Amino acid sequence: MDVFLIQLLTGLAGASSLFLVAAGLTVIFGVTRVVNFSHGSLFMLGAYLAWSILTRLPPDPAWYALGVAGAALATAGIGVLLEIGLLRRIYRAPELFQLLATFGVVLVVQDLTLLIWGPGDLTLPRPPWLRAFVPIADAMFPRYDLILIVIGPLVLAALWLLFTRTRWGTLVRAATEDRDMVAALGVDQRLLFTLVFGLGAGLAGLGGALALPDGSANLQMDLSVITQAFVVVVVGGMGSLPGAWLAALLIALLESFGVLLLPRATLVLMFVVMAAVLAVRPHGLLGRPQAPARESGQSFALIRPASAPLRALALILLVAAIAAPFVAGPFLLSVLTEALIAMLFAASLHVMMGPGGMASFGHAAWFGIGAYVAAAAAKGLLAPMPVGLLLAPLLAGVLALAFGWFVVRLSGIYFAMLTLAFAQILWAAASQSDATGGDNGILGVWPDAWAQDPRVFYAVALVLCAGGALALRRVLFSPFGFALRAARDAAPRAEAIGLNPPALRMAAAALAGAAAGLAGAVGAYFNGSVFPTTMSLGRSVDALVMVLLGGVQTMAGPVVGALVYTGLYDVLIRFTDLWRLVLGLVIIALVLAFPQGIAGAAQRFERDAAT
Amino acid sequence: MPLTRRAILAGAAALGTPALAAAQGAPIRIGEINSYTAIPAFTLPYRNGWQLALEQLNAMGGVLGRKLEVISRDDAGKPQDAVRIAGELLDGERVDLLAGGYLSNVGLAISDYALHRKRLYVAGEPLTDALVWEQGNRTCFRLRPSTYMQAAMLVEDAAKLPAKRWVSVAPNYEYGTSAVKWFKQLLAERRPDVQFVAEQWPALGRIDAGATVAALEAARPEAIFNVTFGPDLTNFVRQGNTRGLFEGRSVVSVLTGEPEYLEPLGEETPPGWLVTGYPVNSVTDPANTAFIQAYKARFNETPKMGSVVGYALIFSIVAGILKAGGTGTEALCDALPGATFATPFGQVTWRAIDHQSTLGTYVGRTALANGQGTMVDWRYVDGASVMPSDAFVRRLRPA
Amino acid sequence: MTVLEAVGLGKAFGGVLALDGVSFSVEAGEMLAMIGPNGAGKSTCFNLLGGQLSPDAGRVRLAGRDITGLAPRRLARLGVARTFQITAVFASMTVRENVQVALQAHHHRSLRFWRAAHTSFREAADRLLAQVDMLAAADRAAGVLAYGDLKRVELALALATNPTLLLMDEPTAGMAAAERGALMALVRKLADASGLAVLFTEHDMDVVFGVADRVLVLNRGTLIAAGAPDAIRADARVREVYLGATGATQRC
Repeated sequence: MDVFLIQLLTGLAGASSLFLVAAGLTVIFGVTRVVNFSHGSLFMLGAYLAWSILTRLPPDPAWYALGVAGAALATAGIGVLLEIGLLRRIYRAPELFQLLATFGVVLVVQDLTLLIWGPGDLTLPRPPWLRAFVPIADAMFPRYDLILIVIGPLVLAALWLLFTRTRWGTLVRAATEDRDMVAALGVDQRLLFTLVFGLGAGLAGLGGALALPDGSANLQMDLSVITQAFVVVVVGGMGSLPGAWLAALLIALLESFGVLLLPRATLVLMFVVMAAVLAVRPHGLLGRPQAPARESGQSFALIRPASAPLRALALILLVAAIAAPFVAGPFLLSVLTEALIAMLFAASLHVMMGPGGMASFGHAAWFGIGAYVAAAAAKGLLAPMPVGLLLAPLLAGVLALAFGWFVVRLSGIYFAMLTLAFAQILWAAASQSDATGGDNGILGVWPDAWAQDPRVFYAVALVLCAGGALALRRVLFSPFGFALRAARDAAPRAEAIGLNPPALRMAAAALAGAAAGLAGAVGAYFNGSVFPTTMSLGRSVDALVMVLLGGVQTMAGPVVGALVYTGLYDVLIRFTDLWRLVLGLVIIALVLAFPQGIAGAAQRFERDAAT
Repeated sequence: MPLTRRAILAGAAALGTPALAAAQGAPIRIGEINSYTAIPAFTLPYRNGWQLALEQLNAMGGVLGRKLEVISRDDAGKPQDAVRIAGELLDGERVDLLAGGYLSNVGLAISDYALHRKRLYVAGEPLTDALVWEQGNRTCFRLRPSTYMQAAMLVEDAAKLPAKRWVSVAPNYEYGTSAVKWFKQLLAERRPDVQFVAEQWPALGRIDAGATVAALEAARPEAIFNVTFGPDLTNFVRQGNTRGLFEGRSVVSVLTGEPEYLEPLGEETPPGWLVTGYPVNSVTDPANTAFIQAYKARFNETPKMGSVVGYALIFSIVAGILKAGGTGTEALCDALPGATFATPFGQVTWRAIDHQSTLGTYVGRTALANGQGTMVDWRYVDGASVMPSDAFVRRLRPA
Repeated sequence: MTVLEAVGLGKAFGGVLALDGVSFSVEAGEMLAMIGPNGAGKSTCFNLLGGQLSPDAGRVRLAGRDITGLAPRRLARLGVARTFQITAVFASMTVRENVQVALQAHHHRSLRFWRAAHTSFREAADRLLAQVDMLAAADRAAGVLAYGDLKRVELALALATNPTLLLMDEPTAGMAAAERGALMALVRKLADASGLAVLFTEHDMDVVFGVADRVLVLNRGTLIAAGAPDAIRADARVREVYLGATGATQRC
């Protein structure tokens, strides 16, 4: 009973922290529809700023509160700058494109934080009042946690008052429901968005500052908090503050009790919870179906086969690629091979995200499955490479089809988060299972003797990956591809002509999964080893970045995106320690310059030039 | 810099190979890969360490009359990138051998690749036992004391504690599970009366410290075995301090005595923990002192454990080159086993049976001094003294 | 021949009864207009017939076969086509491609993965486009068409499925007066030629009385009158609902 009470209180304190971060994220998404990947970075900045401020202030509670408020305000200010400088310019871009911009921000903030505050973990010296405890049920319960327990509902109440009792708040709520209508009513949408973003950022900063006494300001905070924040927001329902509070409560309590009952489940507990909630309530606990954008026609640009000049360019590139083994050294060949694998991986995600209209945050799951199947074929079955290369896409495709069957009812961000949950669960399973070698992975997955020469392997990769990407392109211009796009463009209209959108999407998911699995298998033989990291969130984000960078609306997009991203990354990481800063800035610059992605911009430029 | 010169000359004299006063001939190129941007808190001091070693060796004429070069690359903590970069170093930069690594999976990936390419890989930091046991091979050598060794070093003193009810808290991945496995097994051999009544497995980097501490407290342990490190450790210590988890209990903690992990704890450093680490502020022997002084003079800061690893890594490789008289892979792989080299911790040997070095670490207790954490009551434990039997190793290591 | 028969259709949203006891039929080759003030329940009725919604009460029969509550895509295969009030075409395709998709779907060719779609049913698509006078725009992006043109493309899409029943939800909304007549005259021609039954809603009385064979009048969810246009024009209840007690002309 005592343990129960302590874990309950601990969970409540954790819920407050979670809620603060999630609240900002859900408010931002609710109004601006921006999927703010940099929210974790704002949390981290809040902690670092709080450290800088609080270590310079006297250690008593009044000063502490002031310092925390100062850090939150400073973070809000950074959020405002971010919105004005970057996000404001890309609201018209396709929905997930802003994700790319915020990803660039994450990279930049990581390196800037390292530059400004150094690599070590920074801890706040705790004065006695921060270390005090309250005796509860035979145990010592931190007084600070009690304060946290109170802060959560206080902030919720304050926000509730703000959103229901002030004019501004009412506008924000209206904008959450239908932002186009609010704009039509003559409200200055820009100012509204800026303030909302600032509020969200401030809440994140507050969360970070409040987390400082119990831990440290460190460089891993941004990534470790962002996944949790997204899960809470999705479980609660995007855009719903009370939902975020409920979800934070649910997840924090489950984790708090979870460590008692299932200590090994720490890797996946919140994802299992999210999947369970979404299965029953596809829009989260208190979420509502998102209002569709009014000018829905605008968001789907015309997709045409490439024009003659672009085809010629592609042909030249293909010829160059074929000629490469004869002129390039082994290192360049290895870079090209990696680019080919990335290209197929990106193309497979594009099938789902572009024509399929299903954004996925967990696409690396199929890549990883393919890699592990290849590894199992090579080491377990002792089968030659072609067998692995055949089995991988087959199994990945079948599993993707099965997964698609379960989730095809969901859409938008909920679908994306569920794919993330699935990938994380798989990742956790691979990390903890002996059959997959656990964290130490499977080694010795080398190509057959005849393909071990880098030039030969490159040729194999070229045939499979470039061939695979071309095949995907062909499928997308087939009647199936048209039907898929029809289902995405206007689902009711598609149904009215006899199409079955869920079935089409399932087929697309299976195709995408198979292609990703093939890429994973090629990658496995290329690297010689497979680790759970092939299914990590980082890999899924890589694929997302490549597709978005190239442009979701063109068929050449994923290819361009993959080549640009891998090329940039490989070059930058070789030449500077600050590669994240540079890469982040480049991505931001590309986002601002090419809101339709690089290939999209090329296509538009070409079309404008033709008229 | 007396240590280094003595070591080189001693090594050279032992082989009868004269060391030339000035460096001539093609430089010796070491391709080094590490997760510089992923874990800067460790890798930046580590880089300082190998840079210092490089400068010292080159200042004295290099190795075998050749200048020593390190071509260093960042792998961003991703095994697949590490493999590609290893290829670049071998093919593009034409390095003579590969070195480095921090994360265990990166180390394994490079080791496998090096084996495939039949080139030497000397791993510095990766702790996984598999690197020299289950996945050990001819061309891979590992410097740092492994997870097994760290656990074994602590078990000696842990067995002397009166505690019978233990709990463990370790990050939920291979390093954590291995550390707990070995510690439990080795402790049970000495103390069959010990039982582990609860285990906690926080996700790496995402510990729910309050809940974890409360869960451990609920088990009413007499002693705690901790494997968390970095931000997780900081969170765990702070929550533990406030909730009184450590009062009246013995705590055995891996790696916590290393400056990288001890410093952030600051004035909340829990005293009396039995830890492995590096008492950089209180070692007085000549080898350590020389290194610390040289490091401080060069970099204006106290070295950390990573610095020692980086520094020793170079010397561990050079020992092989000297003994082999060259940089051919086969010659090196034959020469390294049994080779001895000097480190700030003393003389270290490469074991022939599993290519693990006998580099040890310090075991001691944490204490608070001037608002900072330090190690006291420490002693150096030679790696060789905590190795399992040869039969044990042969069972695990592929032939 | 009776193509469509609706018997006692009822639908409630929350506590509000949108439709109550609506019964009517449509014959082959007939153009039946459904009129009524805003909020009368016309769109609800259409959604029930088109499968977008399921009725709470009543049955719908297509050529004798019960199709109540079937999904839209089943209905499409059975010969029911519709156009939507908020025009929906496939914005990422050209006009011709839009029609081609519909033709491919109708002929069960949508699960072809390898063949180039733009060659499939190209001539048939062009023929349909010519019928609705949109052939000149065949290569233009469907997403940037003028509203009136969109309606005609939608008509071509609907016709591509070779329907026996065509449901048109406010087919001429947003069009200029001259265009409206032209579109409905076209539909009239098609109905006469192929025996297509057409049920459409409309606010423009000129259009209604110009092409409709019969007229249904809905008000507040119930059918208050049904019959030939002239009879409806003269019906007192209809006049009251539309024109007010004073008899003043009123455009809705």
